[in-house]
Parts: sequence; C-alpha cells; structure tokens
Amino acid sequence: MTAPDRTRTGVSEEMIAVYGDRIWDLSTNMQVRVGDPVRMLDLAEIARQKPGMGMADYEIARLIGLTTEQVRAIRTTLERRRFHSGHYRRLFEIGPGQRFRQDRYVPDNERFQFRPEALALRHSLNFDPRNAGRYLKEGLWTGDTVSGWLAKWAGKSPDRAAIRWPGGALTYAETLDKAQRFATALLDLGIQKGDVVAIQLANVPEFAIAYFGVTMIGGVLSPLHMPYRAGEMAPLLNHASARAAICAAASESYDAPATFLSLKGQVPTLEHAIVVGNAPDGTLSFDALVGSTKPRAIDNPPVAADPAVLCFTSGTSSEPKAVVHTYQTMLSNNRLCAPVYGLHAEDVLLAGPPFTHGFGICMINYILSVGGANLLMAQFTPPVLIELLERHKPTVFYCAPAHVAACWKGGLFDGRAFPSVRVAIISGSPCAPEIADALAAVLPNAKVGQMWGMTEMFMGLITTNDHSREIRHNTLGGASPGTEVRLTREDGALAPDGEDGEIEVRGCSVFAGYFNNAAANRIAFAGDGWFKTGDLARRRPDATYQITGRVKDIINRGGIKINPIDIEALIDRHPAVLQSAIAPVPDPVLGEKACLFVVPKPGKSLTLAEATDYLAKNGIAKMRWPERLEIIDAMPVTPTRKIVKRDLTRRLSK
Amino acid sequence: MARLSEIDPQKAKEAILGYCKRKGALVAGVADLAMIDKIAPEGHRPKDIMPRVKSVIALGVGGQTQGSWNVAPKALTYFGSTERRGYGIAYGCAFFIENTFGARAIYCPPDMDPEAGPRTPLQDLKLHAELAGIGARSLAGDILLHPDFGYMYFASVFTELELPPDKPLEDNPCPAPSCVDMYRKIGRTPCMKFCPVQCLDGEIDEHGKQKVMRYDMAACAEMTQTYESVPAMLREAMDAGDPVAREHALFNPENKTLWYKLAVGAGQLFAQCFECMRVCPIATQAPMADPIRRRDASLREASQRAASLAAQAEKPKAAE
Repeated sequence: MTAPDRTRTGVSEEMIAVYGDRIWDLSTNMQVRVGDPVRMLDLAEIARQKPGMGMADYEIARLIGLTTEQVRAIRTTLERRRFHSGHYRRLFEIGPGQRFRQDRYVPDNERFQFRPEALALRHSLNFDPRNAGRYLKEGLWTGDTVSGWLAKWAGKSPDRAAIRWPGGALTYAETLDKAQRFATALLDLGIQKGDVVAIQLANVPEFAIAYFGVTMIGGVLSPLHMPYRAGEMAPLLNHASARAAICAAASESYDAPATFLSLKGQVPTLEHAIVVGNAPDGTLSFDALVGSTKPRAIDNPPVAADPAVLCFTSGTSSEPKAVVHTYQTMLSNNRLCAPVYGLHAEDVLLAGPPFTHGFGICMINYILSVGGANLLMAQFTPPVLIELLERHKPTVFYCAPAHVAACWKGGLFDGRAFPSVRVAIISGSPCAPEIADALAAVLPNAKVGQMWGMTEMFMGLITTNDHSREIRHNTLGGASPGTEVRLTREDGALAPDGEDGEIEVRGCSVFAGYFNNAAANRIAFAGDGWFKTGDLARRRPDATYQITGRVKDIINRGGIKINPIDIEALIDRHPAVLQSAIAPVPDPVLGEKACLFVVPKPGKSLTLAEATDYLAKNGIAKMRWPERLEIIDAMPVTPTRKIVKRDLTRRLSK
Repeated sequence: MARLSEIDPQKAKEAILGYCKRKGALVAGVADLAMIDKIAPEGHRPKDIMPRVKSVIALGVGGQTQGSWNVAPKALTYFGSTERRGYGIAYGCAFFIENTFGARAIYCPPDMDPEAGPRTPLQDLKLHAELAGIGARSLAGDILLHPDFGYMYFASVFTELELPPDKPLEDNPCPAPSCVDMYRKIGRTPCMKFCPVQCLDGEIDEHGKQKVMRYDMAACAEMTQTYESVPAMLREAMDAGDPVAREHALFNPENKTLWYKLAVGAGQLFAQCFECMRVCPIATQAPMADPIRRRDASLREASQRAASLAAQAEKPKAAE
C-alpha cells in the first residue's frame, strides 16, 4: 500500500533506519520543555527549545536535510510501527478511588497463560452442549468449587473438625490454612493453574491438604493407586503430563521417593517429587513446604468449569483411560446426593475407599459439601475399621462389601454394635444380601443401603432410606438425582424390565470423555451423552436395579453366554469358601470355558466335583457350571476391592 | 449595527467574553495574534485558515464535578471529555460576533490536519489559551491548568474584529505545593507516578517551579487515542495465525467496545430499532404522547377554566 508513496517520496527502509529515530525525537511524539518560555513570551528561548518541544515536519526537514514529504512519510510510518494497542485495558484494573500503580501492574506478556498440556486437557471437556445447557439451566451445574466450599466452612465454622484420624484432628480453619500454605508453595515451585499434580498417598490428612491445595490454585489432582510402581505409573504420568508428584516416605516394602525421582527421567514434564515424611535429597518435604510458606492470595483461582481431578481407570499402558472431572460434574453429584440422606455439618464420615480412587475423592467432597468431618482410615484392616467405628463414632459410613465381609467373616462383628452410624452405604462391587444383613445387624440406628457408581460419574444408582429393607439389601435402588439410567441390549435396543442389559448413564456428573483416548471414547459413548458403563443390570418392576455382571465378564462358551455373577454369589455361600470368582479361560474348541477361582476358608478345601454338586443342588443348570477349579491364596483386587478377573485369566495363561 | 471602525474594541471584547461566560465557559480571553504567529509553525497559524483574522478568542469549559474524579477510570473515560461543550459555545460565539458586530468570525475547528496526520492539529488551541491567559503549561505533558478553574477543555474563535489581547497568566499553578513535596521525597510528582503508560517525567527547581518537563506523547497516544487502535486491530486480525485468533482480534470485548464507540461516533447507535414500541399501544396511544392531542387538551383545559371563571362571575348575579 505504501509503494506508490515511496515511489514519489523516495523513502526507503534504509532511510527510515538512518533518520527515523532523529525524526521521532524532533517531532511532537517526544517533547521536552525547559522552564515556561511560552507563558514568559520568551521567543528566543522558544526558538532555542523548538527541537525539544516538538517541530513541524517542514521544520524537521530543513534541520536534517530531507523533504517535508519524506519526514512526514517516515514519521507516520514509525508512528504506525511503534504503536502498541491494548494499553487502554490498564484502566480496567483501577477501581474507583484508586490510582494506577506501575509497580503493581503486570504487563500482558507476563500474565498467566495456560500451558499447552493444560489446554489439551481442557479440550477433553467436550460435553454434549445440549445436555450441558440443560444442567446449567436447571441449576445442576453451579459455580461451586472445592476451595470455595472449604473457604465457606472455614468461615462459617472455623473450629469444627474437618479431618479426623486416630492421632488427631484438623479444624476447618486449620485445614484451610495448611491448604493455602501448600497452594502458595506450589505456586512458588512454578506449578500453575491447569497443571497436573499426581499423588500416591494413603487416606492421611496430608492427602486432603494436598487435594485442597492443588485445587485451590486451579491445579488438577491425579491420584495414583497405592499398589502401582514405576512400571505402571510412568505411562500414566506421561499421559497426564504431570508436573509434580506427592508421595509418602520410603517404607520397608516400597521406596516411593526413589521411585518418583527415577520417574523424573522418564516423564519429561515431571519436575518435583514432594514427600510426606522423610524427604531424601532431590525431593521436597511436604511438611517443610506447608510449614515454612506464608500463604498469599491466589490471583487466578479455579472456576467450576475448570478440570479438577484426573483419575485413571483401566486401559492399557499405551492408551490409559483418564477420566477428567470438572468441579461441575464432580461436585454436582455430592451436592445433590447429600440431602437424600440428610447429611449435615455435625456428621462424621468414615469412608472405606482409598482417596487414590475416584470413589475416595468423591467421599472427601461429599462430607465437605455439608461442612462435616472426614474420619480417615489410613489403611484398612478389620481391627482398624472396628476401632474407628467403636471409638471415633462416625455417623455416616461408606464401605465396600469386602470391608464388611472381612469383619463379619472374621468374627469381629460378633457381640458388637455401632449405634453412632445413621447412614451406611455399601458400594464398590456387587453386594450379596447377607453382607448387607450382616452390616445391618451391627448398626441399630442405620438403614443399610447400597450405591453403584463409577469414576466416570461417581454415585449413579442409590437406595434411599425410604426404600424397604428388601430393596436396600437386594438392589442398588434407582438413579441418583441428576442422573438418567437406561439398560440396553447388545443391539442397542432398550432392555425390558426383568432382562439383563448394559447400564447406560447420562447426567450432570457424567464425565465428558477419556482424555486423549479417542478409541476408548468411540466405544464408551452411545450418543446423546449416554455413557456405556460396561456393567450389566436388570430393572425390577419396582424400578430398582440389580447388578448382574460386567459385559466383559460374560463367558462365551461356544456361543452360549454365561453370566457368572449369580453362580459366584452362590459359591460364596459355600461353607468352605471365603471368596470366589469365575473367569473365562481360552478353549480351542469352544472359544472360552468357565474357570472357578476359590479362596478357601482357613483349614477348608474344595474340589470341582464338590462345587458342581453344590451348584446342582441349588438349581444351576449344568451348561453354566465351571469346568475348571483353581484354589488361590487371595483374589487380585482393585483399590476398591473389586476382583480383577483379567488378572485371574492372565494367571492361568502363565 | 455599527461599522467595524466605530466599535469600541474593549466594549466588544467585554461583550464577547461575557457571551462566552453566560453560555457556560468558565473563563475566556483574547490571545495575542502576533505572538501566535511567531510561535506556531507555518501552516498552523490562524491566518492559514482565516486570511483576515484579527483576533483569537480562547475559552475554557470545565472538566468534572468533584465526585467524578473519584470514579473508576473506565467510567470516567465516558464522561471525562467535555470539549464538545466548549465547541458549542465557540460556535455560538462566532454567530454572536457576526450578528452583533458584523465582523466575520469562525469557530476554530479543533480537528487534526489531514495533511500531516492525526497527531498534528490544524491549530494549537492550547497555545491560544495559554497566550490568552486562561491556562498555563503543566508538568503533565501539554495539559494547561488554571489556578481557579483547574483542568479545562479549550476552544477558539477567530474573528476579523480587532480586540485587545490579554496576557499570559502571571503565575503557573503547576506544580502545586503538595506535588513539590512529593517530588522532593520521591523525585516524581503525582501525574508522573500514576500515569498508566509512564509517559511523564520532569524536574522541579529549588524554587518549586517547573524546570524540565518530558512528555512521551507517542506513549500517551497509545493509551488515549483509540482511533489508532482501529488499524492496529485490523492489522492484528489480518496477521492472525488462525480463525480463533482472528475472531478474537476483531471481537474481544475491548475491541468490540471500540467498534461500539465508532458506531456511536458515526451517529449509528446499534440499538436503533423501535418496532416493538411502534406496535405498543401504551407507547403509541398514550393520551398525552401525541403533541396534537396535548395541544387540544391544553386548549380544552383553558376553555374549561375560562368557562368556570365565567360561571363563577355569573353566580353573584344569579343570587341577586
């Protein structure tokens, strides 16, 4: 556009480079005035100061030996090139009665920017806009955040216990203070909003403080299961682009700090290993960070639409299934379910699942939603659980069937009662009615119920106190508030009542999709926001649901589909059996056959013939009987004590 | 109307300056034309736009209420500029001079020289004001201050009527004593310290007077002259690497506000649609909304009042 002008004026880039700065200084763009010569009508001084006070183009031209047009062309070119837009927004930050302070102003290019990894994570939050719009419109998604809840309760009831454990307690004010200190320390370490911080800790107070601290700065907490070691964690940390990892001090069985230090070499983004307890060289002490850091205000706190947690479910090491929850999906579930059981600020929650699992995180949020206390069980053993129930008197108790079974079958329920508990929910894996009965027998003031959930959506099916005992002990109840549930056949059609179908869920707490795993997402979603859970269930005429298995657990014996869940439940009741599972084993003729795995009770034994006789007596058709028996010492279980059947199958192939 | 030669210049000056003050100017004066010609560069002297100009009248209008200086700056930007009020008075003053004295007069255009670009004004209104004694150069760039009226916007009127000139202010109110104190402590005055783009710098001598004033007008223009942001924004949009960045360049809230201001400036408010009100019975059929009905009602009322008075006048007669 400027070519014709230059043709006429002869101005070149070289001329601009040579004369530009001088023209700029002589023009009115830069003005220097000495004294007050105009007011004094001191014409001589005005003339002398002319180059400083600003000259017209023709005056500059005469002074430096160019034409007026050349000066004008160079001056206006520089005015254009040197112009920076956007200064206007400096005014936006000055409130009424305030003045601009250069020392407090942060230029745009020095302001916060999400890292590319954080932006990628945010791209995974691709909710179906129609459904999301409905959740927003109906108030299912709100502006709640974890740090917002924590600050609210610290303000309302600062002296109430937020975290309790056998060795002590932290009030809400203390918890907030420690979380703020840790949050500030993270910022000082360069961790910023959107960064992923991994954590591998038991249910200890530091886990909660770390969770609150990380989320307070808008970080994304990624829990890693306690049994995981470097081989399992490296792909997960890489998938999450974790910036820091928090772990426990070295123990006899596991040197976590050394593991994470070694992982820094395999995970390019991993910068810091933070250790709770004795922190070796190269790591940072969690206690020191919390103790020595003065908390300061968080400039850029998270909002409810931000990612809050990244939890890994299953998946292969090359394509992990990473579930990202926003505060909206995560907290809506807690906020809507807490009133179902009348949870309140005086409640003390004892939760069995580990915090390194989505269910555990859910429990932290659950009691936080009402400002109650979280009673921590660092590591489950039956005596520890009994001790907590007896001495620390929780009012709300969430546990897995395995927790109950271990106490009950170990005789620890005998002669005991725990009257403090008023809400008791069993979840985590299919629960036999007798397990619920056994728990109900020791909880005189509670109506024992059940819940079914997943990391992908937290609490999906729940029984309520309005349900009869039969429903509460035999079913998972109905859909939780904000959740839609349907059962589908293999061909996608809806399964009628009484027929098995895959549970599909849709709702305000359902995640948007697995992060960076398109293959898994293609399989996981049925369209319209329906998530295919992989769990099989049957709907009863009373509109409650019973889990009937896992889609993946169905054994295909020469075309005949065997769902082993009822057989397992039956075998579990055999007097010689502590725990059982039926998993497929490859067969060259039929494709798959059923193999029964049994952990016998101490001093007992079982043969395949005894097992099949037992099944025959209990009316199980021969075509569904297991054709092989394996006696094992213990079941491989997930952190929530679900049996990992693929590990059983793998064991046979070895 | 008297001939020009018969007009008493002093009385004419008093009448003209009086007009300006009656119409809202805080202060007005007459600049020394000869001095303007000596100081202003060629092409920017009064005779360069009005060949037979004899006098330059400068007037100043007020800036703000006390309260407004304390509002949030982004709000102040909407009502901080009052120069249009000054221009209105100058426009009226030019007519007043012509109507009253028969001498040609113009309201001096406060605009930029299209030949030299938007950072060069056609005429230096502040020079006129300074020489007319209604303001003095401050340490805040090219802003003039008055000891009684503080910060003002200025307008000028050129006329072929010869008027006796005023002198510049004897004293410069800038820097104020408190500013001198601050300068002595931190080496800066408030205007220097709090400028959002740090375009001001300077020194104060041992007598508390201005010694040096340094003004980065280019930086000031970046901040204040948003018209320059328009091409910058368009260039940014053209250079944008992707559609999202391009859209942001054109439509982010600040830039969209700029478009809004441009549209308002062009007299085209975006909300100029009245279709809902055009079909609204309340809006269109309100009894007194129609001026003809208002007039008829007024006439009716007057007639009724007259009838009532007449009736009252009749009553005593009836009683008799």
